[in-house]
Amino acid sequence: MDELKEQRRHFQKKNKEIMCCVIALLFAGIIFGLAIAGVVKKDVKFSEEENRVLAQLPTSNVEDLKNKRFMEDLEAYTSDQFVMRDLWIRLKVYSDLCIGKRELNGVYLGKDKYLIQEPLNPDPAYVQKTTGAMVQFASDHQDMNINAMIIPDAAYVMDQYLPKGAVIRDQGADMEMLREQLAFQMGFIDVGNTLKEHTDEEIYYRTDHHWTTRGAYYAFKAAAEQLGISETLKTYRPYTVSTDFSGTLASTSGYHGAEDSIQVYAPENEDVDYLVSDSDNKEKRATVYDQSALDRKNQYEVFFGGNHASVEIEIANETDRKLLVFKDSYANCFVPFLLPYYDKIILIDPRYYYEQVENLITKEGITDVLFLYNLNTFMSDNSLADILSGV
Amino acid sequence: MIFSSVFFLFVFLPIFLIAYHILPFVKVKNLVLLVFSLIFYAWGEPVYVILMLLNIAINFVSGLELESYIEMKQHAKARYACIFTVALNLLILGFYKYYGFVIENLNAVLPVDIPYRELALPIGISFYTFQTLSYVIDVYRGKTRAQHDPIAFGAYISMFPQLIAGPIVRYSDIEAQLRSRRVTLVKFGNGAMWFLRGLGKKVLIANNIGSIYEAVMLVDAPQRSVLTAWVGCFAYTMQIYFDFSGYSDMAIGLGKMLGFDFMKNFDYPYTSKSITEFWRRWHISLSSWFKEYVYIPLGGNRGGTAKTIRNLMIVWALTGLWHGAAWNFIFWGIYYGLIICLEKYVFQKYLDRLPGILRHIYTMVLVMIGWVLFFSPSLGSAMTYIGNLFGIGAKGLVDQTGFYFLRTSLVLGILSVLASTPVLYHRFSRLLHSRKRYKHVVYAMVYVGILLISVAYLVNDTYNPFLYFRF
Repeated sequence: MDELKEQRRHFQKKNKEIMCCVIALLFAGIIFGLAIAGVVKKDVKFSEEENRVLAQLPTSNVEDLKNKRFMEDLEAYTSDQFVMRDLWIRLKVYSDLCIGKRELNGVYLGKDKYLIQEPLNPDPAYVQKTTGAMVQFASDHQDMNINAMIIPDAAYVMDQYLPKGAVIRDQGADMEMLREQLAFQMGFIDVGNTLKEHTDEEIYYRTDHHWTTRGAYYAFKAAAEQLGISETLKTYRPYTVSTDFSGTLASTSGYHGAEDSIQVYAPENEDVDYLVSDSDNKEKRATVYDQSALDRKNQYEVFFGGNHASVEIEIANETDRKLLVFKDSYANCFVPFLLPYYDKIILIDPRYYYEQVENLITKEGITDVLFLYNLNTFMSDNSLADILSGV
Repeated sequence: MIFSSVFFLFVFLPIFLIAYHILPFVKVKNLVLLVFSLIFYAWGEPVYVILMLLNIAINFVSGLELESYIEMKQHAKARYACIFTVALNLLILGFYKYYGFVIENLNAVLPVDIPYRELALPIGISFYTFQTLSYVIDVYRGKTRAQHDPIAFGAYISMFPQLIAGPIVRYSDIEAQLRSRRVTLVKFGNGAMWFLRGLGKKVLIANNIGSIYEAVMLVDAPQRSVLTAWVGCFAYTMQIYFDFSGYSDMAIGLGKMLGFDFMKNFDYPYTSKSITEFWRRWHISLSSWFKEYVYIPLGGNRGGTAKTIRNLMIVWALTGLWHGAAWNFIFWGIYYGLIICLEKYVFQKYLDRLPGILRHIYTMVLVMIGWVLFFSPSLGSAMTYIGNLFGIGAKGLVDQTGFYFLRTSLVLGILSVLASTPVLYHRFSRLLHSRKRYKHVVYAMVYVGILLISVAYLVNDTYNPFLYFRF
């Protein structure tokens, strides 16, 4: 009996020892294999999958060593240039979903494969600075028709698509706060409720933080009267230009389970003639759409070719109205709806614009101003305040 | 630098392992270990590496001095030198760790305002100071001989595997290994298994369940339901155990890869049936340090009940303070001191009569309340949170948010509960005892899987906190 036990123990010990050797070799093999592969592999500048510039090999100097900059840069470099990085990201997302996680890197995976970005928690002092500057601007320009249209995020409009019970910032309260701070001095357009009536119609992209052209269309119909467009609205027809759009939320979350289609809307049976130029491309073009964007990663750039410091559209109308839009990228798919109703539309993206707005207003004879922002960007960006106060 | 990072795993570790294993002789290996340990430390604390070198130099010299006094039978001088060195070490620790805290509290009670500047805490200072203290005191007591090789001594103090998060290795435990040690492929593999278990504990369990705790903390107190509060507290309970014991396992594993054997630091603490037992199983190297160098020198339990209680309370207040220079850590220590005294003199006989499951629940509830004291920024918010746990000031018993947290932490929660008992690991180990080959393959693949999935999380730069920056 004892002998049998002894034999058994011996067998188990032997097994354990063999296994230790196996694990030793596997461990060393994987660690050294990946380390060597990392040295051999060529560095990549940009990650299509993550939609961002990757860290490059840092150079060292004494100062950077002392304040740890070099160490941090080197760590970022090893991680960013890791062999088969995209594959590791997928593995991580897959195991996150397996353990029941529904929030990936600040993005919720909701119903119907909807990726929904968590709105940031902005500093209220910043927000007040922006609204204060807007109110001041409006009271300085009583002669113009000034409106602010702030579009809430999918997290608010499509909240029933979020994982049940997910903690999210209450943008309804934010909208009320903005209304209080702005509405006494300018038109305040809240299309939140309009959008909420159409949540099952793809008014936001599944894989991107923007609203879709359809969402913008509903907003346009609701806002037209307040914008001073009194004539009957044109009938618009949607054309699908892409069916394989994978946006920034797919990149940040690493979840690639869905694709979106992009549509553009054009007035039916009617041609509006116009010429567009922007600060990055002075050449005048006859379309606001940039078809080449459809071959790039960020297909949302099909509208105006992305964000520019300023865009100028001269339209062959005779309405005597000239519109200035302070905007972020939410405006890019909205502005095309406005074309038939103005003689000239100028878009300014304060994040990139460094000139004096007042000069522009006088020079161009602006009659209408529209602040068109996504709520999340509006609350977390302070370049608008700087532009308006002429800093 | 932390172990759970791409840079450590795929740059530092491979280069170090090659240098360490290619070069011959223990003395050369000690030098390699010292040099790489200093680089490891300087990586996160470029300036404080000077402090580390100073620490090594002071204690090396004073060890030699102590030994020579003892050999010449000059006991009074030896005693004086020992007190001086211990005081100096504590002074350095106190200056970097507690100076700001002390002044802040003095300013609160005194009419004058003493200006001070909060110093960045040198990482791991509490761990390595305790190691040097064990050395100096043991040399003084004649329990161990002084180290005459500055390289070996430097390697002991700065040894990167246990430098920043323990275990606290006593010099007497490791003296012989500094002179000669053997690494075999079997031992290396055993070390790799320890390391991978630790890596999995830290990256897969602790970080993931920790992000749930972080999310719960974003819910303001009045919005917290009882369910939310318990899920948050449970998540932290699991995070700190898997994080801390994961670090210890990685340290032990790295040690084995280099030929060292460190003591076990955690022994399934959440299976304890009393708080006294919990502290025999939690951070063993710290509690045994306090027992050896504080509790017993104070007289231990040999001076009657009153003295024993006094000694216990001193040890526990210090244990609390060791974890960070803030009141909540001191309260946390005193909380455990009180419970342990109560158990010793009042509860134990009743506890013994209770069924095991009730004793277990009693222990875990007290431990979880302890963690609330530990993680709360102030005593007030700790009290609010503890109130929430029992429905006081909470937003109802359950709500959608609570269910969301419960749902998203369920799989991980069950896994972490299983992994905090010996059951899972024993089951897993039995795979090796089988005569069926495929079970052995499964066994190996589990370790490979842990490594690959951990790498996937690390490459992603997801939530990967270092919890011991205040220790």
